Amino acid sequence: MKRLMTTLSLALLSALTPACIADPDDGGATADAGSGGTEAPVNGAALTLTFVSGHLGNYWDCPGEANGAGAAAGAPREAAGDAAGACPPGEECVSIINCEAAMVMLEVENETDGALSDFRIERIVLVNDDGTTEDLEGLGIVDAETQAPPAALPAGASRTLRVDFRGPARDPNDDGNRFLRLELRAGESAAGTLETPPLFSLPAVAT
Amino acid sequence: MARALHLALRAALLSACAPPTGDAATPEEAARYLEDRAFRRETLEAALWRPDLPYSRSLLSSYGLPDGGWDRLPVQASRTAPFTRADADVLARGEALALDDAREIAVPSAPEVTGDPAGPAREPDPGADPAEATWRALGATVFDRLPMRGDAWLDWLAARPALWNDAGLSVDAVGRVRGLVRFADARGRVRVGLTCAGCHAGDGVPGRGDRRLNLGRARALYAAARGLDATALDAWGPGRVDVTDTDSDDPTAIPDLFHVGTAGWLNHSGVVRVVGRATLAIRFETQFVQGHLMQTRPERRLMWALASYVASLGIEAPPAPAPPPAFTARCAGCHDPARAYGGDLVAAEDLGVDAAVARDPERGTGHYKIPSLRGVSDNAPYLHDGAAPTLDALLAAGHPSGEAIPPAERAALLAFLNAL
Repeated sequence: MKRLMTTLSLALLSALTPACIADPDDGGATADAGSGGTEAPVNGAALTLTFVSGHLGNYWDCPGEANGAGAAAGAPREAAGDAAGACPPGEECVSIINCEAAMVMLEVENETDGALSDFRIERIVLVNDDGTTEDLEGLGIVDAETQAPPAALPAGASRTLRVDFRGPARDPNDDGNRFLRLELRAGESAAGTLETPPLFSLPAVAT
Repeated sequence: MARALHLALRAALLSACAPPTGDAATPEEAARYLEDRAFRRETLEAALWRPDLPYSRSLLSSYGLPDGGWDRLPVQASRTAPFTRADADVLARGEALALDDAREIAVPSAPEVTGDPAGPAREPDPGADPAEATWRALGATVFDRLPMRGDAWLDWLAARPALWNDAGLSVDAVGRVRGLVRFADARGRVRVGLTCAGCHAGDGVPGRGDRRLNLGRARALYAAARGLDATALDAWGPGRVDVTDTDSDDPTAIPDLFHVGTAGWLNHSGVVRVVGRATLAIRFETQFVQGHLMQTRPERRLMWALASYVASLGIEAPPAPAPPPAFTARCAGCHDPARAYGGDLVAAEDLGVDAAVARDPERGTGHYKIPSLRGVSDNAPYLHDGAAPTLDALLAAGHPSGEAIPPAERAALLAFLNAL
């Protein structure tokens, strides 16, 4: 019954939340958390964002790397792949076994009249299953194809970007009812927001 | 005996609900899997035990979405090369691996592989299906060469040949490590990947769960090198792996892949129902995406080929001997002779086994899958967790119910199973 109530609550929350958060002055377009939809542009300049994939990381063996756990300040360690990726040649590998930074891949479409550059994370908010929210620290944006900072995106063009961020601490009881609201900006004022489908921690043994 | 009838009845009830399985497929099914997103989504939804299980939700949130989702991930290049002893030396020198000798997995042209009637002329042999044969041949290559995942511990272990035997890795006569390949990951870095053959080609037999492979030990060695206590991982033992992220350690036997097309269900707990070959292809596809940090997806034709190949494993076994009366009376209700002596699911409480995996909060169904018994004498240990070391021990314990089996019947059953 508890699970059922939780599910019903979440369904209700999912249905109501976009309507509640949309500012009528922004045009009122809403997101569909279940299908990775997009929201209306902020400040009238359009970046259309479409969810591709994402996970909340895996901080099983590096709880100090999780959001709010007192992770080292300064230049963020390189995310995802390096946390559990190949050791650089000639260097002792510092990654540990179940330690992957969280990430979201999204498709960005430039609906403005000119090319856009200087993509940056404005805000990443985790919406927990009880409706509470948590601001997460963005670690960087790269072009998913080149792994480099995104080059200028011409008007009308689209590109897949990867946003790395510091995910929430591991929740052993996570049953997949958390999602993100992510706001991206580019150029002077172009912006877009994305509400993801439910996201999960990265499984340690994906099989 | 009454207990056996009870179990058979429950299995029959589940069987009655079971839809068509994946041992046969039509060109139309291949085409729909390859080209029709809605079909893939419907197939996934039909296959999952319960949509609210976290395992199910993790797939439903991203797979086959009307807009966006994993369909838009970049396709992972299939250019790989075997990982060899010489490559370990490269790593030991602190150098980067290369892919100079790597090859793409060549995919035949679309008409050839979809079985399009307008495609190339068929072979005259009416018993042969060229499209199916092509798919299976391609799938065999995928099974051996496509990395289903990369892992930090694998990169680390690959550079330390002195530990390979401890981890149960096998090296062939020319120095190739079974199941390991070099590949370029989503970030373009050349790494070591684990193929299907890495876990499911024990003793070099494709489809047989590798009983020597010690994934827990491998991960524990890596963790220990980083100052972490990983004794729980080491306790898994060879041939076993915990596939969940729950706090409890519930390792299960690395499964055989024989007769999965007729098995009806996948995973020890049966969390995925095989509703057609597309189910297998989707299972492999989603496994691949998660194994590659959700940053690339596989070429879908390779997944259909892999599904076709895996569905063929074991189906060319010689005819089975006639079962003795004891088998018919005690076993056939679950281990159906018409389904390669396998079946559907059995409630965990009806078996005298540890039910933790069946009740796992991530992917538990309350049941265990009933495996095929073809070739069972080669596939020790037994039960979902490998708890029974031999068939003799299993029957001596009165599998499945704990009810004592008279010695004469046990002997007849053992003789039959050893010949199956």
